Amino acid sequence: MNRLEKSNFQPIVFILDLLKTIAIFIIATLLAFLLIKASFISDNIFGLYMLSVALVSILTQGYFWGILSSIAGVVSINYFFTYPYFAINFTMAGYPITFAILLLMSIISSAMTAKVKKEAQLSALREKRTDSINNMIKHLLSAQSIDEILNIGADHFYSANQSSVFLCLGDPIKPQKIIFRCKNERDEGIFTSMLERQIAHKAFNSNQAYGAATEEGQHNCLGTYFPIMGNQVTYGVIGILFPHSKWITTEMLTFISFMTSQLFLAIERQNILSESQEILLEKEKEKMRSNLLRAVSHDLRTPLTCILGASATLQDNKDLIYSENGDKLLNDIQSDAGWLIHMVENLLSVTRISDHTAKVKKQEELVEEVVAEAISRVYSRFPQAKIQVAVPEELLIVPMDATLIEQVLINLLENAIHHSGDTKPLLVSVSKDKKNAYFSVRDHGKGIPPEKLANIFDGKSTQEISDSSRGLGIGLTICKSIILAHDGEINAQNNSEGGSTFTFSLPLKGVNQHDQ
Amino acid sequence: MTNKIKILIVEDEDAISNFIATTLKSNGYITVLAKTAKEALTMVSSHCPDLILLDLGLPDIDGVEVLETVREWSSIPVIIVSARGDETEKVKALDLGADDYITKPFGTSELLARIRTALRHNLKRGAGVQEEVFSAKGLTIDFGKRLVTVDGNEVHLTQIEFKIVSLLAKSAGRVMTYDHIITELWGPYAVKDNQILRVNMANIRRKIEKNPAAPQYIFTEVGVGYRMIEE
Repeated sequence: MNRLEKSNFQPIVFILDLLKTIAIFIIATLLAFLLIKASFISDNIFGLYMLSVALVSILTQGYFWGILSSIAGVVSINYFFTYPYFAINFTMAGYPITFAILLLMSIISSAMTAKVKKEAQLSALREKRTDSINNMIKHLLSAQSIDEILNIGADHFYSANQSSVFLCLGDPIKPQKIIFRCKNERDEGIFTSMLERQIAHKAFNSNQAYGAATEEGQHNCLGTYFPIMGNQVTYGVIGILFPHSKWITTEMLTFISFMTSQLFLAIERQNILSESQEILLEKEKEKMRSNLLRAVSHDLRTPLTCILGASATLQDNKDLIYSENGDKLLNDIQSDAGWLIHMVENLLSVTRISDHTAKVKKQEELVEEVVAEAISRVYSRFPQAKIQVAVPEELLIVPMDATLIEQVLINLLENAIHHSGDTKPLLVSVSKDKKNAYFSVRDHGKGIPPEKLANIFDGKSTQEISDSSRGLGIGLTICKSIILAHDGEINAQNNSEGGSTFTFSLPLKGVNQHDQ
Repeated sequence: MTNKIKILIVEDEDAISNFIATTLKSNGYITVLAKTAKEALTMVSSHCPDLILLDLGLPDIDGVEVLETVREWSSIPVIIVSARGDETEKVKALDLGADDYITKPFGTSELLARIRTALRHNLKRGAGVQEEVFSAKGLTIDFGKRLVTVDGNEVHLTQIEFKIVSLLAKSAGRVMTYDHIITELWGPYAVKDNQILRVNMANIRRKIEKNPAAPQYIFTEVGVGYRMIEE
């Protein structure tokens, strides 16, 4: 089918064509002898040779064999079947013209056959290209990422052109991504060379094809580079290493430019898609932020109202200060102020998480120091709390943002103090395995209601809680975002013997154990 | 003390300076208020306070510059008052010669304790007194004999560990920055890598503390340095 696409001279095809030509010629000559023997009429012999010439033209490649067999036919008619027999004689009157016409007719018929065949081959090739383009479009449509699109593009260019392919996203001089589909290492070497890159770069910048196959083909390069471009932008360059310059036809170039534009459309679609996904993500973030703000404003207003009210009461009734009620009001003011501080610190801690990457700056920290500081801060707010600590005997250094992890521990501890409804000592423990350090805070209280356990970190419970149990959600939501920003995990569970345990993990990756 | 101690409060927030002044007055101190850095510098030279409470976030000039200017000619104890989170600023102020820092929000008892510590250290420094033995909550350090005991039991510390412990004990109650400790121990040209110091500290804690994660004697100020409990 694709003989046209293959290199011009192939010995096997040549020998086969030669054999076919000889066979047809011998058969035609033998038939002619039989015809002469049977009927003694030589009129049909011309027709017989014409038929053989036509057959040869159809069955072999190119004009060559058809013309050769027509010459052979004319010669053999002259030699075998016209007087004088078995001798060449073109001098008889009229014969030279007759044979010249015959030769011309043979050539024309051969040429026409060859042309028909070529047309057929071309249309087959076109069909195949249409197929491969359809195939590529189908695959591109199902692609999920730019990477996938590039790989599909490279695969199809490779199989459709039977040539080594180089595909690069961005400027070939400083590419974002490069894909090769090469027949051998030599081809890949060619694509990687500085000269070829320069040509590819030129194609990228000038928005037109450059290289061996173009009119500006006087560059010494071997590949041909086509920019992947649309109206305004160029996304990259595709390079093709045609094994032979004869392959490069206008049709081929049209085909390639069509494929390239399909690739462009696919990349553009993917870009638009990821942009809209980003917008969606941004919206989601915005939603979370406003949810948080709503919850926070509620949580801030309540204690502020209490402080304002209590202090106004005391101001209006100065004698109240020395009474038991006044003492209670002062205590309320203090504890609500403490709560506000806790709240504000939680909110400030969120700002330490990078908005852009949702990650934190990590530094190596000694776990026991962080735990100790967190506990001492909890004690300073809740002097009556009882907290036990268990850290590993060996030094445990974990990369983290210490302020944030401290905040997580404080939140978990204060959460336990507020909600466990129990005064048995809390247990903070730290352990590790090869990959992670695990921190857990355990209480012996009433545990977490099963219906809340599933989304306790999602802040959903904040909307339905009453004023009396304020802030259950926000602290834990913040814990979760902090731990996620550290690439860790956090979860809560009820203990079989009562109470609940909150555990979070931090990856140990990148830790050096310092020895003295 | 025959004369009352005079404290300069440099703070631009009225509410805060008001509450600090009230607390200090009721505890027998005399207070002077300054709202801006310029005012503060004038006050320092005209009133000669015994101690300065310096807020770093001032409207005109950065509090750190006030500290630098004061330190050019005076060793008046300075306690930095700052918001939590800006550790680097605190460390900078401490390394520039501030005696201590206190983080907003703070309680009155904490503030009074810091003030007492700073005044006492200043007094000792002025008199050139150097104690031979430090003791607090069962921990004793005999500087002369290089002996450390916890509840009467001797603790074996390495050379470096003892140096760290005695350095902290001599400034007990005050925070020592990582850089300050490293300079004292290994000289001014030592690499400022606090990882080695922290490992040493972890080892010390394992020797003198009952539970390293719930220390009684040496406290970590995360991102800043260490503080030894006071006598």
